[in-house]
Amino acid sequence: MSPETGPSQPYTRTSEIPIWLARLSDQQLGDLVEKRLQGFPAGLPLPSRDEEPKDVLEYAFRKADERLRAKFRRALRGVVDRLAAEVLSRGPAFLDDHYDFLEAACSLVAYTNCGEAWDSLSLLYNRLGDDNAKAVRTVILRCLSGLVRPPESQALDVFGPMVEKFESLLTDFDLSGLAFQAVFRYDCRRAARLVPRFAGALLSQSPEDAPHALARILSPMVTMLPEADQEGLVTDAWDATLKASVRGSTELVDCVLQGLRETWGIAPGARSHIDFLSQLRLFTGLSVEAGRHIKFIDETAGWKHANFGSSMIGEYLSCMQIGAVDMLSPTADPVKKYESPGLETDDDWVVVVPDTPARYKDSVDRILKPEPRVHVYQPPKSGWTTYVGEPRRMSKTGGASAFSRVAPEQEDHLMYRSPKACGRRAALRKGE
Amino acid sequence: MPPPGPKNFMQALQEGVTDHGAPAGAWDRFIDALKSSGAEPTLWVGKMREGNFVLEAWKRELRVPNARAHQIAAALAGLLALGPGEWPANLVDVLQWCKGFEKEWDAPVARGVEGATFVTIQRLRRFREVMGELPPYGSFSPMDEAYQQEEAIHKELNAGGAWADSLLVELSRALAEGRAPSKPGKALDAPYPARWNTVWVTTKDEVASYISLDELRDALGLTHCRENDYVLVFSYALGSTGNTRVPMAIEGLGGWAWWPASPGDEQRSINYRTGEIGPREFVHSADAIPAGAVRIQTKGRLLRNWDDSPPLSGV
Repeated sequence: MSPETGPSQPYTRTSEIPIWLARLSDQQLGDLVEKRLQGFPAGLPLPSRDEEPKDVLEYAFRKADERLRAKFRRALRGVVDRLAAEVLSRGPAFLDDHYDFLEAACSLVAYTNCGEAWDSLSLLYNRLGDDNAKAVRTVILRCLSGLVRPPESQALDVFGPMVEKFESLLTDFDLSGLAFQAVFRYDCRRAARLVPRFAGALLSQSPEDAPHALARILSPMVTMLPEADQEGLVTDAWDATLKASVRGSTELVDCVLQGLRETWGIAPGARSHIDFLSQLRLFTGLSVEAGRHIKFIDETAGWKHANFGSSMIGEYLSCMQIGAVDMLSPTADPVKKYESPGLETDDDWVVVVPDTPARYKDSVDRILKPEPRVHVYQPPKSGWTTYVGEPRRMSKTGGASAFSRVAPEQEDHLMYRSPKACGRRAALRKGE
Repeated sequence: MPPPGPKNFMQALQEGVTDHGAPAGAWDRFIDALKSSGAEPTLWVGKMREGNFVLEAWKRELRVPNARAHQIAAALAGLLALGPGEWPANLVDVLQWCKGFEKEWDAPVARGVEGATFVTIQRLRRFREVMGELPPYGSFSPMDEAYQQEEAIHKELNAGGAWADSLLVELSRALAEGRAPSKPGKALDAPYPARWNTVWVTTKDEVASYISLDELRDALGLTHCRENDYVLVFSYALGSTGNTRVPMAIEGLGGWAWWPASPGDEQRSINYRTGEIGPREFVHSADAIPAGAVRIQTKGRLLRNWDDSPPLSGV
């Protein structure tokens, strides 16, 4: 048979290709894979428009049983070993001249999860010189990043040293995404603690796009984790961010906050929004810029507006009031500003949130109004927006956990029993 | 008596190459290289006949005025002057580069598509490769993760909202970013890189009757979309009808599954499983897509290969 055209084609349709490959010897399969990756037909259907020569190999691997997959990986390892041998004998410039082959081989190695090729690929990376094109370095790193596995997944931790190299690349804007991904595969909690550094690298290059880029990289990885790991991840990422915020980078905090919000916003079910709001509430309580972060909270809640239940409202209001602590004027007396003729029940609650940041008001209304048991009242000539209703989780005795963070004397400024319950409703009805 | 001259495009191209000072014998070496390398395919079309498709396609391209061959010949002569040792190892690349000449060919403007909504079907896998700047979607990843990533994108798009919109923008921006011809180690860049941004489309009305994605794939002759591939069908209107052109042989050289129409006929796809003629095919530059115009018409996984037997109706 011709090496370029490969063996004859004893198949008549695409689905028979894996069966045919399974019948080949290891040597034949290795030759076939190598030739195909070099762009030759090698006995397989020609690439069609918008198709890479390796695509049919990916299809065959996808359809293969475990035995053929193992054979496939052995063949692929042989291909990479031969490539490494060529580099050793001809120098790293060989890779620049055979970039297409290298890229196709690396892509297939990652796709087939061919950990057997790790040693040769690491060798290739370590042999690269300054003269090599950056694309060559990137394509090898990308492949290595795809192969990294947790240390406990094998007897010998072969990935550790390379992961340390990946960590050092986190500040390289072009490679930071790959580097973060590699560390994440190795240990997601370790990666979580690197979130501020990673976000910092993104911020340094593109401040506006950084939160979105962070979420874009983080969200697919998070989706693949068990829920327990997801919670640990967000906690660690948040802790690391708070520590970083001590050094005064508000932009960094905002970037991470926004990135996490987007991450969880697109992975519903990975973690409830209430939990996430709790994280934000904690942060809001610590932040000196509560107003800004209330806006984040509002946007987060509004994101999943359709699923916004009464329990969420309780949490939301809790968050709002934590923020309100920072914005309340020490001399303000909400009681005097309060007037409401519309109270209907005996157990209504009056929740007072400042409308000082008028830009939040529309958002608050938008979120609260759809809840049928919450009525919105806007007192005239008032510096306060008053929400009247029955947020079920909000009772002084056991509802909103957020109030544990509020001093009792402050609580009275934040939430009021209905006038009737407080003995004031009757007074109002009497016109007093 | 008609004046003596080239009888077809290939002859015109050969003469043009010689006129532009290609070394003696360069053309023959070029053709030999085409024949001896993987660029001359042993056509594999399942139930269809075998043949030297690519060269046949060149020879059958009678809609191309021979005068344009001389424009192409200038660039091709420069390529041939490098000598066989410096040609790219894979001559498919040469053919790919030839696609770039289409700009100079000035493919005919499509008629009868004024106001039409166009659709194109794309594999999500391709976007992951194209969008290399957006890891991890663009990163090499194991098969199972690739599957999960596709599902994650599917969920994002279904969820709607600002995030899905931004993702759609990114996907539509990458609609036509095919295999980049200029890579490290290559001696030459593509002559007209802008023309790589070519999207193959048909009209929405003509594919409305195809219920399943598999049927649509078959009708459009997209043999590279295989079982379990996740595909997206984009739809959009183009601002100007002049942006839509009729694809010609050179554009189809990137793959075997394209059959040029006879002169005067409309260019239509072929269902390679049944041999039936399908919807009209058009091309346009990706730059012609108005901002925000792209919508996802449908999406999902293919259930079979193009050459698998479809399930019996009613089963």
